[in-house]
Amino acid sequence: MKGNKDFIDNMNPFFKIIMLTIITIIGSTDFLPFVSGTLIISGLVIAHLFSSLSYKEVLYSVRAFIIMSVGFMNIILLTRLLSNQDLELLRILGLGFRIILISIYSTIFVKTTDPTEFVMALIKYFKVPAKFGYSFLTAYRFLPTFKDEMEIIKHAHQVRGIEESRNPLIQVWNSKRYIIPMLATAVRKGIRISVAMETRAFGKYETRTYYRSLSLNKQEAIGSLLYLLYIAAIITVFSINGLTNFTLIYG
Amino acid sequence: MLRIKDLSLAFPEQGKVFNNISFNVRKNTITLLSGNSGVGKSSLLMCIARVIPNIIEGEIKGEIIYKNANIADKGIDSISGSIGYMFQDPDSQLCSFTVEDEIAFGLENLNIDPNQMDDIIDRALDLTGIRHLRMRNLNQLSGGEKQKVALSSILALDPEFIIMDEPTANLDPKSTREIVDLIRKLRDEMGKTILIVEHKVKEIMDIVDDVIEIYEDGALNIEKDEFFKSYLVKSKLPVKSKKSLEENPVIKVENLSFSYDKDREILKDINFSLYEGEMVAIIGPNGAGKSTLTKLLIGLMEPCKGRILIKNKDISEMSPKDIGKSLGLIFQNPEHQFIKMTVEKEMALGLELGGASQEEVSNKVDYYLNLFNLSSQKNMNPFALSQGQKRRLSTASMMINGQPILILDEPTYGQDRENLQELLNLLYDINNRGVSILMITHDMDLVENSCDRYIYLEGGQVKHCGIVDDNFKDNLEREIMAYEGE
Repeated sequence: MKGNKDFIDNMNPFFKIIMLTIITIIGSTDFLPFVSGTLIISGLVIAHLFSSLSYKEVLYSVRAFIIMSVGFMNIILLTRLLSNQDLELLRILGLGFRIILISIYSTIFVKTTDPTEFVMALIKYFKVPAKFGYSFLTAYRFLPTFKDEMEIIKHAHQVRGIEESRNPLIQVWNSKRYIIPMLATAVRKGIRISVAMETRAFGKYETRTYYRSLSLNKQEAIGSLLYLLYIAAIITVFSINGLTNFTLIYG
Repeated sequence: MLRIKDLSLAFPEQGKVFNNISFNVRKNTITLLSGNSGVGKSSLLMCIARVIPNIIEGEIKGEIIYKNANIADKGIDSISGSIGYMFQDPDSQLCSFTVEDEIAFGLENLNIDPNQMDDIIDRALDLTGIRHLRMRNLNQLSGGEKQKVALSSILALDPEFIIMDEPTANLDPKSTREIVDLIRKLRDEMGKTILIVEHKVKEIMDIVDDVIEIYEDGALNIEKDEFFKSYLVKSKLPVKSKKSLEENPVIKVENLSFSYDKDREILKDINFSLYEGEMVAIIGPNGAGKSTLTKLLIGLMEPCKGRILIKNKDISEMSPKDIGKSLGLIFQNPEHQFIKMTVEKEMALGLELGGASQEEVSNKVDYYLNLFNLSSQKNMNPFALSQGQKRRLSTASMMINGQPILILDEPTYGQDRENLQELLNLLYDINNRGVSILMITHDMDLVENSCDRYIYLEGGQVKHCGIVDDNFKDNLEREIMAYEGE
């Protein structure tokens, strides 16, 4: 398996976008935990075998979502228990698993996809206008800068004697203080970047060429198709046995 | 090559910027655009690059004749690719993630055949001497390297005319020299024409052919030797008499190390002190670890090893509020610390939070408004001030509680010489009242004129420290060369 360790990393984002969309649809529509649970385990195994990511890395990245969904599940169970309602354990598990499912596949997508190729795929295959694609790309590039800036501004305010409340709701309310300096920087950066792009002929012609070639590779197509068939098989088998909320109608 | 004829510019809100500007730029020359702070030099460059009015709204009258055609009423796409535009902030002019993608960006926009791009990218990187960085991620590059990438991405399009707005403003002396050499090469070896705004006049005076001075109501082509002579006198920073005060340490940094991850140590075993009443500079090239050290010194991050003592108290045991009581922190970007909506309220904030009486607040604010020359701006929004005023306000509002120590992160950031002179005089005044000052900078003139001692940081280590005397620059250069030789 060693030779395939970068298979998902090098895969055309087109296939990964399709896969993520299908997983999101399944996660949003199936309320029972069986398909989600199976796909969570399959996703982790596939990522471990065919990408540069390890189980540990993926699970660590989605730890907040895992904690959140376990928290949700416990709170709902406790409330139902205290109010003497039916526990509906499967549905509650389903809710938690769906959050974990979507977060795991999204993490694998984000961590194995080059943002430039992602934008190229959006423009090339999904016909997103280049202007929107590159706006997304530049905004994405500046996210870490904005995060650093937010921390500096918060610290600058604290050093001046402004105390941060421990109440998260008040923290959100108070964050408006940071918005003006953040906006001032964002607007300035936005103007400069559009100046840098437009003076380098961005938008000068209706068409543009691409330095990186993005093609639909046969091996990647077969790999993606196999996984889609696997998903379809799981849904079919689980549905036949009543383990999903999809109804299969026989002739 | 370029002829500006009776050009006037007005912004919708601020009104008139300049009037009746006329001058010529000769082909294959380097022309320096000079003028007082706020006269509209950058705006003029943006008019020529068609950024105004295409991206930034503004009303232009007059003619901009580029290669015999008036482009004053044309869009940005009429000149993009033919006129290159480079500005001071390296980060804000790069739009992709890797060096080669950045160079390819303009070529893609011009519909160049992808098969030809590899050669063009290599050629553009060779011109700036950074071919070895081709596969690197932009986030891993230093400021100087990013500026060279920005220049390569412009050169890949092979523009005949390049406009530069303070291209070395955020760079250390070595990177500045490299960029200046490159500009010379663009003219001498590639036949380019360059129009540049640059405050580091001393560094570029040898390569400039013409100087245009712009005023609010006109422009003059002035004799360059005469200009440089008077500019150097005019822009000389005020000098402080040097002191040797190694008695009571107010900041003590002991065995400080820091790393973001296991593989890369950013700071290694840093030791130094700031003594009471001193003015000390931490200097070093871009990427030496100065920013990380600053974040540790102000308590924004915690060290992996070692400690920082402020008046014998470990900073890791102090809350940000306590740190603020002991230190005045002047951040690189003054806007980061503005909270209130008027200059007066901004200054009063620290006193009010400290529990001062209404009368005390009012008296002190008036005194500081006067001291920092901000009285007539007291009702203005801090974000609406000029760069120099913003820096003065951030200094005043951080010092108003009478902290005994002041830390300044890159005090020259966004400041022209005039503003810097004003700020320095204020700092000397504060220092004479006993405030110890530590500044993080790469402006050697500033260090030479104002500091008692310097600490030279490179590769995350203190490589050299010493007193700032008449031989400071020579000594430092010798030390750096010895270090590079090792």
